[in-house]
Amino acid sequence: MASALRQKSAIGLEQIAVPTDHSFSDQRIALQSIVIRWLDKLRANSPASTSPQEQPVSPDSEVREALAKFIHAFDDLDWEGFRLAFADDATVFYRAFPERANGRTEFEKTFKTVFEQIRGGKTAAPYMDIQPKNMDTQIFGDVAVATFHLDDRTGFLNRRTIVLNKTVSGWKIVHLHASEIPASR
Amino acid sequence: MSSSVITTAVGRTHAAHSTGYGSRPLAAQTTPAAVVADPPVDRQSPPGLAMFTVPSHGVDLDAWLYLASGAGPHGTVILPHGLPGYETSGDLAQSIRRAGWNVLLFHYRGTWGVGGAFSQSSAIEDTAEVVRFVRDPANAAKYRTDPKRLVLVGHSFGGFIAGYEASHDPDIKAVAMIAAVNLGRINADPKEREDRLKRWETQLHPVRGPRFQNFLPRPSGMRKTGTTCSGRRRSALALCCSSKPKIKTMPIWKLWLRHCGRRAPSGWNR
Repeated sequence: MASALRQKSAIGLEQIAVPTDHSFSDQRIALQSIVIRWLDKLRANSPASTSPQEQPVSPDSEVREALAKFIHAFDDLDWEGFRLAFADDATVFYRAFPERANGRTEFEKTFKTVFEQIRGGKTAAPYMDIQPKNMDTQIFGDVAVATFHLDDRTGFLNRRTIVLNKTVSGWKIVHLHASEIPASR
Repeated sequence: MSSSVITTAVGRTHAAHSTGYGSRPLAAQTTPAAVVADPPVDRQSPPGLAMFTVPSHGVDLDAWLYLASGAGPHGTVILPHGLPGYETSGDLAQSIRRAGWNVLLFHYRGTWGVGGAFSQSSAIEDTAEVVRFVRDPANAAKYRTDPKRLVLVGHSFGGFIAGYEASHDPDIKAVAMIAAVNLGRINADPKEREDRLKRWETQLHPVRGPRFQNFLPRPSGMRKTGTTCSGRRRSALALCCSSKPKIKTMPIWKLWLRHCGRRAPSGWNR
């Protein structure tokens, strides 16, 4: 069937087999997860709407959209998308690097190393599946603070703080702080 | 054209390693936040539920729209349900809404008290009318919807319907067919057709229409072959099949997903 569909010019056809019955009676979470990931990927790859009916987007939504793009670029190790999420004068505290990275030259040098580590031997995106938890945003005019957790390492709590500034080209990251503490603390 | 086959990580284990940023390896994916947690509520544009009817060939279809939080405009996912429609994938709808999409569900003509008679053809027509409703500029503005981002996710018979609609409407952005029934194949196989009709006849009390011996005629424009739909070449995926007649003995069901080519990023409205 897949072959027939491809012959009929299906683009981007994906097939996922799930061991359950016709109603997905015992795999509902798996089903939802598959569809949500697919929709997230689809949305990230769709052009922004320019509909005249478009209603004003709240700053909170704008910030979350900017963060989503940033995370999507990081998942895919999309260097251009990733680096353009930052302002030129951004500062970064990254857990693998003790010193603060000051400005584009320094944080790009830092993250190029990180990209190489993550990429490993893989050749195709996505390379990661970053799932922010407990995301909170605070908006102070043209400045936004986003905080969230990541739980990628058992026994540890990863915390992220991202400060963004609204510019003429959208919300840009002006500071990123990554830290990790033992979960029992 | 590009295509790929992917398999979920369900039931598989992988050694976790830290990537530096704080992600999991893709093969050991975590459950997406939208499945298990509510997004922050946008107080100016909170999530909501809109109930209405969609006119279709002289009948008002019962429909309801889960509105996502946020000013939008949001993409819309239409969820055509299967037969007889006990399973409406409501949990899937809620997760999709939490992920920032509006989600529209509806009943076909002749089902669940909706007027008219049910048939393959009428369900296809109804779905097209629902698509038209979502695209209507007035409705798009009213429900904070981006009419250009329209996705169909159908289950079972609804998977067939979703595939058919997408194959005939090149502006449908994507289609997912969950355990879709291949009516084309059933039509082409007298024994399977007979088996299906016998089983469905005892299950379809909420469905009103012609006798179910008449349920499986081939609608015009459909082909007898397994892939069934003969839409324009650029149109979406036609139809996927996952089934054999004996549901309980079928170990693997398939979820077919299709989306159009990659484009620039646009949004995350949670």
